[in-house]
Amino acid sequence: MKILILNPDRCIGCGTCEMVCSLTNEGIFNPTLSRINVFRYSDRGINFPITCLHCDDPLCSKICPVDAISKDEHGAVIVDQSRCVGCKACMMICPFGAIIFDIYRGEVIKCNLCSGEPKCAQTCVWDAIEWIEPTLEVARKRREVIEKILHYSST
Amino acid sequence: MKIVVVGNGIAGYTAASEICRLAKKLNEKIDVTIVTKEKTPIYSPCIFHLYLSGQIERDRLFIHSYREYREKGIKLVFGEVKEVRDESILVEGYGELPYDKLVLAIGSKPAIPPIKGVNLNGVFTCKTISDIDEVKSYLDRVNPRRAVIIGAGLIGVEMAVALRMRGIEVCLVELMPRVLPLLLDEEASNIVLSELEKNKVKVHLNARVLEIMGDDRVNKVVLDSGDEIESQIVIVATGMKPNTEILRKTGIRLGDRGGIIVDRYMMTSKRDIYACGDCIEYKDAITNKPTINMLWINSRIQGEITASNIIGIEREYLGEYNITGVSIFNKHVIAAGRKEEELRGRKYDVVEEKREDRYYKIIISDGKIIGFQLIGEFRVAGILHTLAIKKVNIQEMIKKIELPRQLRLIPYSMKLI
Repeated sequence: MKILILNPDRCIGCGTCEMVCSLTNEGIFNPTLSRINVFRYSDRGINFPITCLHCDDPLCSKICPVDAISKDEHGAVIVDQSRCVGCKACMMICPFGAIIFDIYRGEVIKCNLCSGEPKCAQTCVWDAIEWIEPTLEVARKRREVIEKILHYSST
Repeated sequence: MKIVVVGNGIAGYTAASEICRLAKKLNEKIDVTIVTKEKTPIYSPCIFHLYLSGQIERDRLFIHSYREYREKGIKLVFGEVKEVRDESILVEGYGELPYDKLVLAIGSKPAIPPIKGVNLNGVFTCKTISDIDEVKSYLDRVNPRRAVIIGAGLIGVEMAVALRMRGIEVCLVELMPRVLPLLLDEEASNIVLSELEKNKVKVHLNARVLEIMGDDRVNKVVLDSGDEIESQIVIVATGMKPNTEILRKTGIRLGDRGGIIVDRYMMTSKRDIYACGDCIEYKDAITNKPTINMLWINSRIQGEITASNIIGIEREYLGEYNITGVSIFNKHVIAAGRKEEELRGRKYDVVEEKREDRYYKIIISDGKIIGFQLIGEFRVAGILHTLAIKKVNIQEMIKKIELPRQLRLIPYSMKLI
């Protein structure tokens, strides 16, 4: 089963993912309604794409006071918009800050993996977003990336 | 195996629901019954204030239908539990219900101070759906001009905002010197106070209610300062305590505050009896001290772990979370862990910044985040909370991260500066 992998070292901050996401989910180009956001630190030359990583045991699902969040058949953690009351408890608990508030609807929105074929991954020409089978190789590479960005060594 | 769950709140429902799900997965035959004294399916007390304010309809409070109980295979027995015995419980109106394993998810109840007049018509607590239905019906019938809310904790403040949104004048009376005194330090609390006052909520701090007066219903509240507040509805929001009176003679160990003491497998001092939800006492995930944190997320997690252990898949409970979010008109507050006020005499660092629309305070002790208070910040909360409960040494991280200024955690915190 594939997972979404984010590689900040390859991200140039172009924001194409934000456009494609909002277009796919909302029908318009509007980065504030994109379920993936790029945090740009141009003074440091670092860009972080942030989106839901679809936890195995999602905290957002546990904190939701109306049980609006569950995992679908693709393994995506999804919000049942008809149940959401916009309390933002999920936004508060997500360890990645991946949930967004839709100010127009008064509800939270989040990545739903585009029903199994995430468009951001398809569109990102830099491979900063990948939709691939997780392997040991991938895990090792991710660790390298994080260590490089943070200049942090585990030894 | 016959499993009886006492309580139909989120802890009991989650425990029952998870037991059924795991049993089906493992192809095990079990019999699960929820015993409840409430004649409704499970509802969410967390969003009562959204209903009272008029933002949502009543049906949205009920989050799982009776049909779902049937589909999951959860049986229901309606009645109040009168006695808990070693192999059965006594349910009023039903009789004796035997069990192999018992789950106590009996929750909490309001701690009502002995104020003269607290039993008058027009004085309410907001614990159950029945309380809320009474409040709503009273609001519609009496159309009160002014409400007095006793207690400026989480519930009191939420109710103040909700009633204010209905156009009712609101007076909030709090014993302590600030609003949300158990959640926030002075600076954050002052921002909340400002926002309340800006929206015409009158706040009386360091104030105690001496008497609630009225004839056929409440018409006045008298404070110890001598102030007399004319009011047609009073909400008592002075805190909750575990609803464990019936366990007093059973030999099930209770803590100082009445919470059921459980081990890391959610088992009580009696081998076949488990407990989860508001009624238990367990260690805090950040401080490791015994605590009672009555939060929805804790009840959910505890229910899941209880179910897993009952089925036979061993899982440990790592500790109660203490993170709360509340919306006060245009300000949204998130607080977790310790407050600076609790740390007198201990060595700690504070990273704090106040801006026009945002505020944050992060408390670091021994290199680890042990508490934070945020106003107007959401997305960084989960990260700070995760770092706190995982006890990550931030100071070590900071030394190795080359970035300008103050606290450098992970990408989000850079957004704070």
